[in-house]
Amino acid sequence: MNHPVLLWWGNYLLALAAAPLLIGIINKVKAFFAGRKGPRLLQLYSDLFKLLKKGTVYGRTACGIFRIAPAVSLATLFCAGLFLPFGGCASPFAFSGDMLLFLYLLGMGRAMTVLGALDTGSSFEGMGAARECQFSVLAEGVILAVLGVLALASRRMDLSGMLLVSDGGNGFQAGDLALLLALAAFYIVALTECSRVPVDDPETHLELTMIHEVMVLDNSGPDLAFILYGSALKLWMLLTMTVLILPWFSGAWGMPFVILLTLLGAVSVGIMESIMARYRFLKVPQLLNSALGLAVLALALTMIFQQGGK
Amino acid sequence: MTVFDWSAIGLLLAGGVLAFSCGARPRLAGIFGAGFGVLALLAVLLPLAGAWQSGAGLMDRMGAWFRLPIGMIGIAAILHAVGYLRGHGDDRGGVFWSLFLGTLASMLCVTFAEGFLSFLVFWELMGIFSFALVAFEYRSRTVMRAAWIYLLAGQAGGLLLMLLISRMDAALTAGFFALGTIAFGLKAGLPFLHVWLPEAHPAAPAPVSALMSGAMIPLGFYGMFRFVFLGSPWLCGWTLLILGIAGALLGILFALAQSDLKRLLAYSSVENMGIISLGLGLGFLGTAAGNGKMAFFGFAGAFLHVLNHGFLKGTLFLAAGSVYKSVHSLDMDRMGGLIRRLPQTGYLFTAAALGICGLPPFCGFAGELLIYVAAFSGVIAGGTELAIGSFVAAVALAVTGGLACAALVKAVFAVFLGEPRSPAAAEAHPEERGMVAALWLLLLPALAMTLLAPVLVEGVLTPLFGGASEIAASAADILWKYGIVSGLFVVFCVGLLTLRKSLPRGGEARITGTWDCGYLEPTPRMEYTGSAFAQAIMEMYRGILGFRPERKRPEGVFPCEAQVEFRCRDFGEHWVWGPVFRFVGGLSEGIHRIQSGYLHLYILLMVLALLAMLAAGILLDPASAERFFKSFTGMEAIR
Repeated sequence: MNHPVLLWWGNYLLALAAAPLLIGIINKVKAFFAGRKGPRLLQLYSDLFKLLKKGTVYGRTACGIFRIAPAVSLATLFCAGLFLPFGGCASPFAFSGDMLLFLYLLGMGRAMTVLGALDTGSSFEGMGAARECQFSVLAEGVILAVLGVLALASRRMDLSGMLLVSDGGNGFQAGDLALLLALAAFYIVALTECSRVPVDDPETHLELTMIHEVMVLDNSGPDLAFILYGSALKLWMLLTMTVLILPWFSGAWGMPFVILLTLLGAVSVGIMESIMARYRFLKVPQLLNSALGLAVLALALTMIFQQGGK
Repeated sequence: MTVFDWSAIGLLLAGGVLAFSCGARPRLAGIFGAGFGVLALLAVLLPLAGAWQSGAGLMDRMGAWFRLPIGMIGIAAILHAVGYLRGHGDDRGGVFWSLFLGTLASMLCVTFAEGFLSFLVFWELMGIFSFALVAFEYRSRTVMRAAWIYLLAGQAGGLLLMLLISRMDAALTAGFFALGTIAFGLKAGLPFLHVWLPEAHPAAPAPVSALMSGAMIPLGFYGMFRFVFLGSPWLCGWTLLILGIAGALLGILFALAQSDLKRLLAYSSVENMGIISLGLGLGFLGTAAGNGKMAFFGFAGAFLHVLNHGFLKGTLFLAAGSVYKSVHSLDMDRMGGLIRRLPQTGYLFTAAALGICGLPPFCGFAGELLIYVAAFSGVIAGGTELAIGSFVAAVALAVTGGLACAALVKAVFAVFLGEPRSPAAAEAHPEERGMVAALWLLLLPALAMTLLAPVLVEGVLTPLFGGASEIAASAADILWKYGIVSGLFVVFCVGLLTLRKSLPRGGEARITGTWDCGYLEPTPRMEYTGSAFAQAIMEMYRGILGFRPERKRPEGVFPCEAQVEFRCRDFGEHWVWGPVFRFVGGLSEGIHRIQSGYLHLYILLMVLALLAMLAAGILLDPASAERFFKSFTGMEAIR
């Protein structure tokens, strides 16, 4: 009886343990495209251990908010992860409406990061914080629209229920078209939320072009380790969600596929970052608005298919 | 009304009179005002649980729900006012206390009133007392302008209510529904009727703004429930839903654009009233569609949000008052770094700000969660129209959440973080203990609300809205789970922070200048301001905000001065009231020409007006006109 619960816990812990691997995969793919050898696959693990062993430097301007922000942000991710059906196993914590708690916990994490950045008093970090807030306004709308599509398609209001709806083994159906659109919209938002190209460039540290990296410029030591680990974990979580939007991998047999596809998702991010440049900031709202358009289209399609099916 | 309630009103009146009569001695006035006020509000709060338990009427129980924020915010505001008045108009302490207690008494009486007439009397009294409080610093021209706008809005609402009274017993037609919605919407700050909020809140003393924003505005919804929402739930639902979406989005967008702290908070109240209206709208639409889950979740979410918003916004306004006491300004671009001068105020403000954005683990999320679930259940179960409406509402709520986060983070940043941006901010007075205690007094119940919400939903809101037991149980269940996850979140936070401390060099911290790629001499001039932070989002919604940047570009070979300034006009003023008042003004000017001074012309006009009225009467109501003429002919016959 406890079997699925144990499987879910296994997957949750796997996510916590293997998340930094995703960054390694992305960097390897990028190195491959650039014809370089690139950092080791497990480089982030070494970085994290190194940072955890160090002391911290705080700015004179910063107050207590800056000191607790990285830990609180990471705690939001741990908490939000409780509701995700990792590896295609239903979460034991699932309840109707948990997807909103998931969304708002991510929002809390972002608010703390932004406050921490502003706490340093530097305009450099203020700039990053302003951009993060600007894009998150648009991104939240898109995520909610995608959730609306999934809720309508599955008639459920918990992440486990709506992501694990199975197609009954019928293969590709007309209604899945809507889910593909939702998937595209969610992928764009996942890239935004995880600060990847084409919205943000995680490579550059000293350019005026980035969002997330500039906000954490002043964090050091264990705080920085928390932040780096947190962004890797967020990537794992959002890629898992992206994969699970497709209705073909629910059920216990789908678990290896889900994990494999999550890793492949990281490869796709690496490829994207190799073959395209970051958009100009003026273009990012257009990108997110088109994602909203995709989600609305998906909703309309789902409604039409459901009424046709009645 | 119980003995407690009567004695509360009596205490408030006695306190008001006593405080007024010893106006020359501010200390004594403060003791009388604050002491009697706190006692009276305790007398109101204590029997509240009984009022919900007993088999009291529906409206009594609903009134009791709205009395809770009045009592809680009232006590905190009184405590805060003691410190706020010190050295800041305490020579007129007697007047302040009598007006404040009068406002409290009239607000309580509004929730107690049984008939429409007594309701109307107390409603008007509430408006007039609070007008006098808004005008407390009457020497300032801007304060008086704000106070007049508030009085006008209040009187316009009162006028419409008097029109409404004439049809109280008849069936409520769409026209009277609109009338009532406008009348109470003026108080509740529904969009386009909200124009007085951003004016009156910055002008009023902080404890008054806290009371008005947290407890008085929601009374507009109470009034609607009693006298307006009697007709078709379909009409109520769509009206409230559309107004709610507009209010939430526009309110928070304009909040983001403000640089006056209390004005920002006032617009945030417009947003939160929009969220409440949105939740009620979903509730009515659920009723109309026979979707019990959607109906209950919408209503319960909106009612929870009334409490949550009250506590959190009360905290924010009181904290804004403490800031104003310290730096004697509300211009956020001239503050900064105040968290070192006002540490507790700063952290409490931050917590309340995060809470009002609806972020977990604070209570603001509890109401929004239920409203979201109502919207999603509308998407899943409803027909096409309802599904689209609910979907738009849910997306609007999410976008509002994102914007609220930006707006309140801006407020926290601009006021408390970074380096002081003006000498006044650098030499801010330290915080006062009593005022900090008042903040705690409001924030603690707000924190407790995260866990209390399911209890309240089960114990109070379920009988109030007659929700089916399994639906109510599912609502309480969701809220319980939210409470548990919030607890878990706190445990995670504490765990991570402890882990961080216990690392080999975890406790080791070096303090230097902010690194930031060589930013070693942080001067306030180099910092991002709140306006700069908001500018990116404002540019995105430029069409709606309609602002024009006033730029002074650097010129010459050795440019020295450059500046950019943003101003936005209020959307209600710009789109609705400006044109309306301009039209009326133009019309009056045209009519003014008739005033020529010739008596003959005046008599002619009178005759013409009488004839026009007669003609209109005959045309509009031929039946009674016929009777009228028949009565003439009948009289002839008698003769």
